[in-house]
Amino acid sequence: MRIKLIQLCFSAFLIAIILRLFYWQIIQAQSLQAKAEIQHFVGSKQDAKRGNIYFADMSVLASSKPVFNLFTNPKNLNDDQKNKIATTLAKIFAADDLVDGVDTKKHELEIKADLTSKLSQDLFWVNLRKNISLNLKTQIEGSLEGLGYDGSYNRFYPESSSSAHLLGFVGSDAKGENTGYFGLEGYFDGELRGIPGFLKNEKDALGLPILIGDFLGTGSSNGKNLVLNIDRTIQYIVERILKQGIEKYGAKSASVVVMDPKTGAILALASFPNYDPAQFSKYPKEYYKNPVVADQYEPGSTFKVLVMAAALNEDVVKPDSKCDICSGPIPIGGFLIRTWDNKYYPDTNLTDVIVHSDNTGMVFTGKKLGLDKFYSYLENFGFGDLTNIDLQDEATPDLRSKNGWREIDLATASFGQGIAVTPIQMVRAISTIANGGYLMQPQVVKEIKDEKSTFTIKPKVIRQVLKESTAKTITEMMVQAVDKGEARVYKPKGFKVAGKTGTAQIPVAGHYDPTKTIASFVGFAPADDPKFVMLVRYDQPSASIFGSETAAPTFFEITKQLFPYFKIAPSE
Amino acid sequence: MTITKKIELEEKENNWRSNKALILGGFVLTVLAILQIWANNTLVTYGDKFDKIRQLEASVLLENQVLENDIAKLISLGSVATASNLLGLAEAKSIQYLH
Repeated sequence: MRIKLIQLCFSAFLIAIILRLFYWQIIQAQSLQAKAEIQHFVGSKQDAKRGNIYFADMSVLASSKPVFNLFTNPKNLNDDQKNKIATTLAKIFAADDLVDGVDTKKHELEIKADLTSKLSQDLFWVNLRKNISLNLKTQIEGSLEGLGYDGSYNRFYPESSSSAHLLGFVGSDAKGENTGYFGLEGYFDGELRGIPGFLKNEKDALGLPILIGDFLGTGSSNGKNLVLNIDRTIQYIVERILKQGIEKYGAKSASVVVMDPKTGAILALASFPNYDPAQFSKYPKEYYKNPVVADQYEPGSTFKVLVMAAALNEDVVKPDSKCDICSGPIPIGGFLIRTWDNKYYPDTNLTDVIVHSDNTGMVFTGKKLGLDKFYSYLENFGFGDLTNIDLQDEATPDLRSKNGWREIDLATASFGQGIAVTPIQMVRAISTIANGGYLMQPQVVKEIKDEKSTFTIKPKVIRQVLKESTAKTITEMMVQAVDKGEARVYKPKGFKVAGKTGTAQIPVAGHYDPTKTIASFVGFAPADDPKFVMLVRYDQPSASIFGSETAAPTFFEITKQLFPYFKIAPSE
Repeated sequence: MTITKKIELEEKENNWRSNKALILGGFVLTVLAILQIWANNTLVTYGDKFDKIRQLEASVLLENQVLENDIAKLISLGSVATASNLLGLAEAKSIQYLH
């Protein structure tokens, strides 16, 4: 009887175990498995390091700097610990923030008060300081306990604010993720940002990884690196001289772009006022836009060489063609077209029209060309279209529909008024003269590299616009314009430089303000085998309104530095 | 009588065999238990080492990045120009060309 009772008990116990096991293994299996996985799998997000940006010589223009957010749990600290943390950190931060003219002791007390206030909060997590450097972290780790560090990367610019408009900057998007805005950072954000990974690692009760355990997820893939066509020496020269120029001529803003006419490679690009991409938020938002690709302006007389090139290409005029309407102001559609200096040259030839920057001679040339051909050359030179330069903020002014053009519009456009372009469009169009007639796509990036491969971006010819002979002819006219024109005094002796000055009045409230101008100079050198095309542009210079007295000196100042750099000796 | 002895002998032999199997089983189990304890200890030790190596790799990579940045800062043209000025180097004002 007893045995039977014991058997019954055992059986009941066995059934209970079986039922319990059934409950755990079958009914609760999924939720228990999930709970177990949470306990022994530790997941971590693997941040992808943003790709670097290099100059053409592989020196760093932008890279990543490891930084840490310093935090603590105030609930785990007693008053003594809190006081020690506040005192020690205040001393370290004050020494790190050391700025001339600031009372260090006072600054230290301010920091201490701030930290004490943070540590007194009844919270589980308090951020004590953002973006501390690795050195500072090591220093703090050696002297304090009870603190945590969240690692991340900030953008680092060894050349400081150099190339700011080219680079753009890295900010946070709506989700708080690092995102590139403007310039290269914006245009190549997808390539630069990489792909973050997520790794789940099986760990034991002590939190150590189990070697024979499971590893789930994917590792991060770092962002790709960009190698630019930008030559850092040229960029440095251009920025230095342009900065001096904007101060010297009292201009509101200024830009320079240097391009290799044969490949379309952008060798330098600078604008002022600029900003520090590492501290972009401290600057007005208007500074972010790259004026070289986003600003539109009336090119003025620099445009004359393009109209002349079109007319020569169509064989409607020759360099020695006589202008039979250049003896005085030309009345068109109720307006009177005058020359910039009110001097007139009866029966002048077209080379002299370029040399003297004669508006009446250009009206003559424009008439010879006719609206249809004129308009078609505007399109062929790429005006009205994006150049597709690899920078995010490019914009283009629309080309007015051909039906809307009146006689006066053709006349004024022939000397660069009443038509809007961007500096990059202008440089690209002038490059067609420098390279024998080909419209190239401007390119800032030369190579895109990742850990395994390199993608090289090849020069891209858009179309042929001019005959080679036309390019040579107009080049000679531009050389004459430099040698005999207003800017001849600035030209380095012995070098053959092709160029053209431009002074365009700025349209304000429906009329042109004669005191406000865009002064520019566009040219290339050496004229026979150009190594670079350059546009210098000053917006509203106050020292002089003329391009020949502001932009031209800057152009030649830069050119004087570029000749020895390119190992170009004088040819004359 | 002979048959009885034979049966006893067989029983003894069977007992010996089952004892032998039990001893062998016990021995195997002991070896396996020791092996598992050793493996656990070793794996935990290696797990610890593995974790430390991973942390070291991460900190070395960070330090490397900081050093690369320091080098980039030092060789930036702005720094080179400042250092050149301090050394008394000046820009060439008029370049003479030999023909």
